[in-house]
Amino acid sequence: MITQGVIKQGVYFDSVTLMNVARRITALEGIGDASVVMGTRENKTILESAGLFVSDFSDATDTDLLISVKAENEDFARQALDLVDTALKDVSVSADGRKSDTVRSLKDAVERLEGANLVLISIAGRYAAAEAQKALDQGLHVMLFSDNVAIEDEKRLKEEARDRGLLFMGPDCGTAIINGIPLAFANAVKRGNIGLVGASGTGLQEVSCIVSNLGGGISQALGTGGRDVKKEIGGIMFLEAMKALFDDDQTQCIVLISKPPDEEVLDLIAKEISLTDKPVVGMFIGADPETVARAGALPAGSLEEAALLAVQLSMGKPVEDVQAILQDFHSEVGSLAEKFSPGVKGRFLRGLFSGGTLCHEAQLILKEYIGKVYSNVPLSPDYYLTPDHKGHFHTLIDMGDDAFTAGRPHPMIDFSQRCKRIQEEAKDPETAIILFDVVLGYGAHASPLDELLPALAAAHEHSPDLLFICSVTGTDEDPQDRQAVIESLRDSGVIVMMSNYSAALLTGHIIKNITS
Amino acid sequence: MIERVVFGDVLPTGVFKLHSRFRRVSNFASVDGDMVFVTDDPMLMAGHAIQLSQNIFREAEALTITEEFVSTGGRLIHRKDHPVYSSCVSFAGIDFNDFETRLNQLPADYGHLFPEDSFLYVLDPERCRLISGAFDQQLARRILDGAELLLAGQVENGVSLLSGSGKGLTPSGDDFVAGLLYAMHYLGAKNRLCMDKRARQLFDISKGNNLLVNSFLWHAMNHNYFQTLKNFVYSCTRSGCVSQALIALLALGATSGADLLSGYIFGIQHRIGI
Repeated sequence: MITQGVIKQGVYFDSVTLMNVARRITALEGIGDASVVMGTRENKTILESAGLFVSDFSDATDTDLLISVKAENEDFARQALDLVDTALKDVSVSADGRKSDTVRSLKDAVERLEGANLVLISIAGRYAAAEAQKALDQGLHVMLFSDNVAIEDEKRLKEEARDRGLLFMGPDCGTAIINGIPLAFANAVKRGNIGLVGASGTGLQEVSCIVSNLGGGISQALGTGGRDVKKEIGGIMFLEAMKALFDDDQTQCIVLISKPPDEEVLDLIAKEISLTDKPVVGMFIGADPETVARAGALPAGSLEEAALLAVQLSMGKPVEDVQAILQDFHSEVGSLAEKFSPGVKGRFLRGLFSGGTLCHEAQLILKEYIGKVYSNVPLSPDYYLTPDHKGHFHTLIDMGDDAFTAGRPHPMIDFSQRCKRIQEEAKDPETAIILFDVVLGYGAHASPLDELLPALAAAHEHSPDLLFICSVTGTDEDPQDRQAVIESLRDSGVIVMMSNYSAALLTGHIIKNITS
Repeated sequence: MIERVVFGDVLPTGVFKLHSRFRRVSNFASVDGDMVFVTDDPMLMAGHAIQLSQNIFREAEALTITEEFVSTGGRLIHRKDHPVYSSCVSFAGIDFNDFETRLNQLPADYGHLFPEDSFLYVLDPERCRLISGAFDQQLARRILDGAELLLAGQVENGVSLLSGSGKGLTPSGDDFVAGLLYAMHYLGAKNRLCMDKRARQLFDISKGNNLLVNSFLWHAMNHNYFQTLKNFVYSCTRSGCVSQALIALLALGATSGADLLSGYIFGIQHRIGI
């Protein structure tokens, strides 16, 4: 190993940038160790003890940045130092080499991109309402990714958007597909005649992907933000999005996805459904199917069933077939469970999710099979985990919850926390199954297996009898190559299911088998 | 149009030139080494800061600050027209035992929220096993040595080992020392002692050539609290939601918030400086 280093004089980068750069170069081929620190006297002493000091550092001062690498040879060292140089030179250069077009205001942005009629806003919540108002004033549709927007502001902005004939998706809207263009966290789905309205981001992703993978296609996928169907907002945008799809010639079938709406909102949805001839599927997660049917929609018991129904409808096939398909599917899952149950050690399930809706849906499915499930987002307040989020009994954790994401990237983007947790759970002899989701698509981790596979290998080495069950939300057209992801996971001993529903169902069967 | 402007309560006056610029913060320094910063994030607000909801100073290369106004590039904002951020924290009337119980419980309850490479291992040595990389391992050894010296009453020697050590724009050791300085404010209030002289000694040992670090420590020595830290302290002294305030504090920098908090808890647990 050789040690090489460079000094950057009088440059300042925030701590997160510095540490990310250090991590990136440490992971490079041929690099044994690396460090990026300010040139204080104390750090120079530590670098010496760590074998990362080079003579050029002697004259560096507190305000200099010292970068050093331990590499197998000079070529590897040079490549690593060049990478640092590039990474620090201009953080605003995008991956394809183009410099970001920086604008200072919405007005500038609109002037820069002639014809734009939709704005995606992702800024601190406290300022988001003001920016959204400006967008409406300019006649723009809005997708508001930001959360922490006051509910009064949400209602006011949505009423105004409705009055102006504009869409207002959000706040806290993470997924939409408009005219085939995925926005924020969304997938490369086939275009078709199924329109989606969702107050749930990963719910929209899961349904749109299953539809696409089954050969169907999406006309539009409109997010509304999770609060839209609550009493305070009154479903303003959910209803507007439904109307937009009813009026859209390309859309022949509509799927509605959300947690159970407020009663009054459900009445309004029912009234709206009664005004269209287009078939509507309702997936109000956890809602009584009779309530959904009463609203005039075909009730779906899972995101997968909603997708199946929609595809059948869009292809003009009888929806009754879906029940037969699900029946066969249940038998298959039961057989799989019989196959995997005998070798399982441990008693409890640990679920580690990046998608909030997927975590919620899994709890609902598992409740039928294994009873109480503890969570940081439980179905009942009785089943809250303690603040340290340690696994207790059967546990499902939404790692996209604020407690895990403050100051850190979302687990769909950064797998490090989940990988760490996988290894921790594997060390617990009571753990029988680790259930997790992998959500692909735009915005998600570009290469999730780089982080996931080493963690799974380490966990497997420690607990060879542990079962890993996972669902992959994505399409073959997604940038991450879904098939390759699935194959690699299977090669690593993971049982990969094609939907969140099926993964949870299989898990429920196995836990039931081993505990009965 | 300026929508909202807030001035810090210990804003220095003078002519300040751009020192460094980050996504949410622009730092300005005077020839005397005083620093001020401009931010659009109220959670980052501090006594020596100006908060603007629209950062009209984003492109500014210099600021002039007087008792009456702040100006740059022909723009002028009268200070009297705008609210003032108070960087003071008062411990009057709090239940000290309850406060310390809450603090001491944090590493056990919320240790998983701290970044792996933060100085939490000073409070929870088990975490040392998670550390990889030669620099980090040597750093950990140095920090634990420094902590031992602090515990042995050799505060100056301990702080000498800690300050300037570590990763980040403000080295982690300095964040930890800032935590110790804030802890001394609490300990002074609890024990009705004036800790100013002791704090000054620690500051003098710690300060170096990095203006950002010096400014950070200076304000810690003078118990000027930034908003996120203030929220955290109040959440522990009152029946507030500790977890939310903690999460916000830990989100500062890569490990800065966590390192500061580790120093704060360590300082209070071990009555550093008394």
